[in-house]
Amino acid sequence: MKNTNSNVKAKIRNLINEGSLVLVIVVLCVFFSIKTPYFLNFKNLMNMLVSVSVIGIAAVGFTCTLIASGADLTTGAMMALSSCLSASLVTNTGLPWYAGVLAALGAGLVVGFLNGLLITKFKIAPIVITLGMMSIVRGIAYIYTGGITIFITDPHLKWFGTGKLLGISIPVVIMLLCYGIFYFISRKTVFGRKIFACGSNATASRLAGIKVDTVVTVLFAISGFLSALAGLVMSGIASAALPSSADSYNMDVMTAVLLGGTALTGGEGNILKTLLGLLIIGIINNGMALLNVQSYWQMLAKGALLIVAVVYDAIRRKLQAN
Amino acid sequence: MANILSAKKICKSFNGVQVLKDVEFDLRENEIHGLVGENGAGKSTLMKIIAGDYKLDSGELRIDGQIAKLRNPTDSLNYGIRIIYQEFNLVKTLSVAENIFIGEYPRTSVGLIDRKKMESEARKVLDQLGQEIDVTKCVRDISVAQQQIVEIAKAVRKNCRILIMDEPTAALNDQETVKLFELIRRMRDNGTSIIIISHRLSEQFELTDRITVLRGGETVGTVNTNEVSNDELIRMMVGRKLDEMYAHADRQLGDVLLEAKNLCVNDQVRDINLTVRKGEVVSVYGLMGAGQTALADALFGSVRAKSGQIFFKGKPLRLKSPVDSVKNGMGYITEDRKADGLLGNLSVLENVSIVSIGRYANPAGILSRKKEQTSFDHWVQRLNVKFGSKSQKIVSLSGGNQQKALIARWLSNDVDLLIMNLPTRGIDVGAKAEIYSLIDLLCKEGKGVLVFSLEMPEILGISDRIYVMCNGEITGEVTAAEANQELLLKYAVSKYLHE
Repeated sequence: MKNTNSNVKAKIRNLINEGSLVLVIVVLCVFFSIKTPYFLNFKNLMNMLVSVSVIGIAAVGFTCTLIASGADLTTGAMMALSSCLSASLVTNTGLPWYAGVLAALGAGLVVGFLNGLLITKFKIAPIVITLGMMSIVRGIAYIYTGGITIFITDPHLKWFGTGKLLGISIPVVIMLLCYGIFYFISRKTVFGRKIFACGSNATASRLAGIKVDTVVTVLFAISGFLSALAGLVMSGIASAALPSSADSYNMDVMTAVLLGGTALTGGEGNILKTLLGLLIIGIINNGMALLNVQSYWQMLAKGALLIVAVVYDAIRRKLQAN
Repeated sequence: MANILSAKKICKSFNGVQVLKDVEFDLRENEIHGLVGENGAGKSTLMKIIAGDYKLDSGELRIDGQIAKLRNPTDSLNYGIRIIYQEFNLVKTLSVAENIFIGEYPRTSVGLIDRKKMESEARKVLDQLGQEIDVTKCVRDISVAQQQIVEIAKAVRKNCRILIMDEPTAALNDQETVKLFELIRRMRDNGTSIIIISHRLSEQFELTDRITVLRGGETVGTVNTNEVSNDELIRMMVGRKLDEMYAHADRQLGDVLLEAKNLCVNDQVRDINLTVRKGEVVSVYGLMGAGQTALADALFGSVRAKSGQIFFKGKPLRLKSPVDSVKNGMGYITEDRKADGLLGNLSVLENVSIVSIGRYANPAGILSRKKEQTSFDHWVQRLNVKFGSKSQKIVSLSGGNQQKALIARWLSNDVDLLIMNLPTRGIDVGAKAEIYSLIDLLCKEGKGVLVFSLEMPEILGISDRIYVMCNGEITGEVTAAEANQELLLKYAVSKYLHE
């Protein structure tokens, strides 16, 4: 009796550890496929992927900083600044499209680098610095645009949101590329191993000869860069740049990352599982929209999802400890 | 004089390790009783049993001749037993009066704190102790010596018959110490019995009426302070010669590997001169808190020394961070394995290869799993690290295997010098012996090992040369041939002796 009991427990544990995200996705897909005929077709699934691509790209950087150090709350504001900067430079100032893109991506790098520098030099919790930076960056976006929406006419900037490669939307291509590259870095490179080491125990990592401050700073710079890239995709999709955009995206990004099982305490996480967490958010949003559920309910569902994600994480940890 | 407290045949084990064995201890009314012994002799455990922090396994405690069951701190408090730890238990942001009355504030009729009454009562307690401190001041704004007084005031505020003080002078200067001693004597004359735990033998001679010596968890004896000499006391603390569990082959010493010249780490740890040769095991002994960890940190570069020089392999080395020492071929086993050594979320494999990881990668930084695995297999086999699977988290291994994995971490990076701070802390006897023979083996290969340890038998067993630290300075250097426990302890307390 006792034996079977512990067997069942071990099975549940394995399930929760490994397959649960895929299982949730399958269940959600089956549910929405039964409920609506519009869910399971290529066009809708591509739409769904495009709709999560912006937070998906940013979530890659967020996962990395969370594993190594802490949350990067500048993400959403950086998206807004990046889209406004590129749109305004190209549309209003008349610079070539690539100059606008480089300026936006450069701004992301600089902001992220500053975040990393402040966090590591003054040993301040990332959440505090990036919260402050969030407001600064958002403020700059408003000041720079005067609060006005910029409509994008340049085809190159639009391409970031509406282009296609072999029938696949560019936002999805960019997102999947990001996941591929960073999965490779995190699993197969020296730098990737250092990300996990720094997050697991910064003191021990330092004593092992790792330049912890450098690793953390680089990751925040990367996170800033990816947020800027996400901002380009965002304004490309909308053909417009707004200083007020991406307001709730911090939470969406964090929900995806936490659903993916990255530990708030650092040292643990998996880029591909973030992608799975992202798909869950996308499917729920998409399915609810198809079922004509009011968007207020989507907001509620997102909040519930975040709480489910962290409770799930706590349970998983407890089971692992036993 | 009657015994206020007597302990008979006290036994206590932790996880199967016997810490106290048939300990006998008695405390008379109106006496100051010293308790001395080496690190790990069982002093703190015995005091914590009396304070009700630990429950004894067997034996009996009598208070005023009656059997007393001390199951928790409250029981001990009710008997009038108070303990003041070396680390104060004060809330720094509260006032002196609030600390003295903490948890039991006088109330007004409506249930609010009666600040006036509290402050006048606090003043009364301090008056009785003959001390003058502004009771409205915040504890963080008064001196350490005054904080000590506040601790005492808190302890004696109500019904204190037995006061235990653990290293009460550790943070005090000479003048403050004299004043504290006056206070302690006054308390004794007013009827409190006092137990003083202190490494500083000079203080024991100056202050106590009797001294009890513990060694290896057993009572060696209790002596009248005025009938014993320094040397006799040290001999009692050290006791018999040790048994053989240490590998120590004949060693071929090479060139000087590490040399520290006039190294000052901070205000406490200063004027350090030491050398380690290739193929040599050098140990640093000292009582707890003599500054060993600060020195080890500075030699490895994890804290920056204030002044002085470090030479490594004949060249001056400027250690700005561990990056420099690792690059030059040093390794460091830290004192606190969990806090400073283990990467808790990571696997055994990832923990072992974290330092040498660059060796398994191409110039672009892409890892070869195969190379990493080969090196890992080699080292865990050689060090006999036992684990279920290489992907299991390192924290799930036993202490001994964790430690061996951490040593493998450095050896796989081919270090020339391994600095080990308390290398056998918290690991079982079998793993200890393995680590000793490993150290021996490393020396045969021409590597240097610098061991910081609190355990004399260990140091005597493995070392070629021993430095002794006391109060932040090196007070002695002895070769293996000359070394014995009496000599080491003499150097280790030399700064604390009178004359």
